[in-house]
Amino acid sequence: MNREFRDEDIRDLLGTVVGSEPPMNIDRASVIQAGKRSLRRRRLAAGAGVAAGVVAVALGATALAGPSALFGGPDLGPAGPGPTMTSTTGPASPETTRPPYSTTTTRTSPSTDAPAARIALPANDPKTASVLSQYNAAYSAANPLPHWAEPLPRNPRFEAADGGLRLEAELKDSQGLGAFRIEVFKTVSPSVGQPCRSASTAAVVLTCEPVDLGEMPDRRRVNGFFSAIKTAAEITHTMTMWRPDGIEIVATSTNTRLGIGGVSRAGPTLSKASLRQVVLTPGFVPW
Amino acid sequence: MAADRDSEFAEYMESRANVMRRTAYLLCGDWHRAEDLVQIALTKIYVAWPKLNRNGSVDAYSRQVLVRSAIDESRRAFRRRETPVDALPEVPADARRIDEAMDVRKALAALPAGQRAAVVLRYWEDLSVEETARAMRCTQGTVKSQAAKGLAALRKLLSHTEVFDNPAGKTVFEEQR
Repeated sequence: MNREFRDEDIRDLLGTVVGSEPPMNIDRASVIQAGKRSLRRRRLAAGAGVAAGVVAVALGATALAGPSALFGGPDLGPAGPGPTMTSTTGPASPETTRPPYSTTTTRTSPSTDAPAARIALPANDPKTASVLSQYNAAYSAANPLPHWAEPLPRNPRFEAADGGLRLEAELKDSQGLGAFRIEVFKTVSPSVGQPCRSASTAAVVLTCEPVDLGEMPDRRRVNGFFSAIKTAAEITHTMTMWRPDGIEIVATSTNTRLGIGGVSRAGPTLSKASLRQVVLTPGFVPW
Repeated sequence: MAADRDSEFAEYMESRANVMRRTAYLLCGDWHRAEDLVQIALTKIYVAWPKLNRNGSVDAYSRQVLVRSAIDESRRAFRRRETPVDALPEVPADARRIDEAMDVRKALAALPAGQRAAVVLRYWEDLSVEETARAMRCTQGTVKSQAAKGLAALRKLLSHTEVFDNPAGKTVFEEQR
């Protein structure tokens, strides 16, 4: 030890370390964007927390009021006929009618010129459950996502939707979050036409090209199409696989938040190559 | 309203980002990681901007986030091993200053994250013990002991280097090679 440290010495020493600094690479705009995203998330979480709190308080109050309040109060016996009332209007209809459940499927991929009719999976059917479990098993056994894209929720699952299967999640990487979706349908016959025309007039088709997706075990070709469509600042990458057996798998990645909307990043999380891997992952799972 | 927030925040960022990056670099020892830390801090500042701006506590909050993030990072297994490089980035400087800087960098890298934060905040940011304790979220006693231990370790590591006129002209790290 040659001499004691004084405060100024230490400051000088630390100064030598930062003396030769490289140019700043922080993008101001992206910091503000990240801040806005974080703010939105906090507001959403706060809203959800308040709602959960209200439900908890309501349940707690009901529970404190006793089991009679929870289960509808004491048995008061059958109601009497009540006072006679006259009305100038006719009686209300004894039945309410609900509009029939729509079986129309809505494509989230760009519209096709000639979409083939779909064979809808019946809801609450053992066959649907079986197909669901097969696709869930196929995707969880061979995770098709690139290592840098973390799905939220961590283990997204297929659900029966619009007569087919749908898996929805957000993918997180260093640029932020973007919506991701896989849809599986069965069609009467393989679709034809280019799925690159958007319903929106403001949409700009950035890419629209056929993709070779190999062949089935019986050597029939599997056709595919990749499109990149920009609508205002929103960009959607879509890979559509049409198998000769009528199975259609559509994988979509965007630069917007799932369910929230709003552009959250410069481009979609997954590229063409990643989406190709996604549609090829289940192999030839039967329907 | 949002535009005001953005423009005020942008001004703050413009004026403080470089200062924050230097502090972050002293805390973590890597310019890229330092930029990551600054981005984390700036994002959090943006979220809390109205309150911080009202209280005039933006800088204090930014130091707090930088220190907490740097300590959290250092606890991660893959960050524990410091990997000092032999070359300093770009800007030309005389050879002696480079040697000094390398020695101090290596000595700083050898300090535990808490000691390093205490030394940087006390002697680089020139904060009082009380302010340092607030930034590190610990007691003033902890700050004093961490700073004292950090200085003692630096003294030991640098005692045989050119930084303190070692006649042999060899650094501790050169001897280790």
